[in-house]
Amino acid sequence: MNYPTNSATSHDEFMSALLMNVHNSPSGAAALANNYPQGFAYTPASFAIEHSEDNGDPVKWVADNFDELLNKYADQWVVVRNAHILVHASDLPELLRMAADVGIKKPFVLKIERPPAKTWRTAFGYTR
Amino acid sequence: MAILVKRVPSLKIFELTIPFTKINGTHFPLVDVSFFTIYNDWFTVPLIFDTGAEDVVLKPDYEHVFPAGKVTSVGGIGGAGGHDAIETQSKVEFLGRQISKCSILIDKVPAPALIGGVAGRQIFKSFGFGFWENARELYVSLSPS
Repeated sequence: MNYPTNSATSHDEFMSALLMNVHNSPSGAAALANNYPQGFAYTPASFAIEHSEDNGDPVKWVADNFDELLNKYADQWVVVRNAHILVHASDLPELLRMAADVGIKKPFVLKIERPPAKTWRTAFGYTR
Repeated sequence: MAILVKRVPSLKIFELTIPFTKINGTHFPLVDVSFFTIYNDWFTVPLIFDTGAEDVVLKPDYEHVFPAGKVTSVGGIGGAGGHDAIETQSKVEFLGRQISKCSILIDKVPAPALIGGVAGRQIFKSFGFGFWENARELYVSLSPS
């Protein structure tokens, strides 16, 4: 995903005011931030998403439609674009070849697989 | 004579916001990371942003698109539960920047279906990150200072 840099440069006036307030009064900075909420939101979530290779979040779309997709594509690798399964294959090398054939140079790849039987409260630890 | 040191809050600027992604009722801090394969193709996969991991870790499903690796020992939380995993290398791209020889561990990852693994600190080095759990957002600075 190619996250664009929205810039602080378009907020120069805000930044100058903020920096001055930070030095003079931390509470003033907080007040200023409240008056300029957009000053902190340099790249709103929607901005980052709409400028990506996809027009939406492919993971969210697949997660939202997971049961239906699991019925159709269980254990398949898929390339998702614009809320649509563009190509699918039973293994990753084949999927990459198919994606290249339709002109996608850096496909966003997901595997439609059943959720693990065991669930974790902590994502980063497991017992062998 | 005492010297008065005035505390000045430090200000950090983040240019990007990455919202968490909801999967099965749980919100995950996902980042999209691209990998170069032995087939001269790139692909992109969502990984969990994981400050506790040193390296990128991918599920075993991805092993066959990378050069043959070597067996290495890896640890779990706090280094506990050491076990063997496969370590390989490839070009990796994250937020538009490439790492030419990035270590990639191939290992079981307790991540939900759809998520390829975890993105560890090795690929964070040139970026600044902020994390706001309640807002379910990750903030990124491309040129931290």
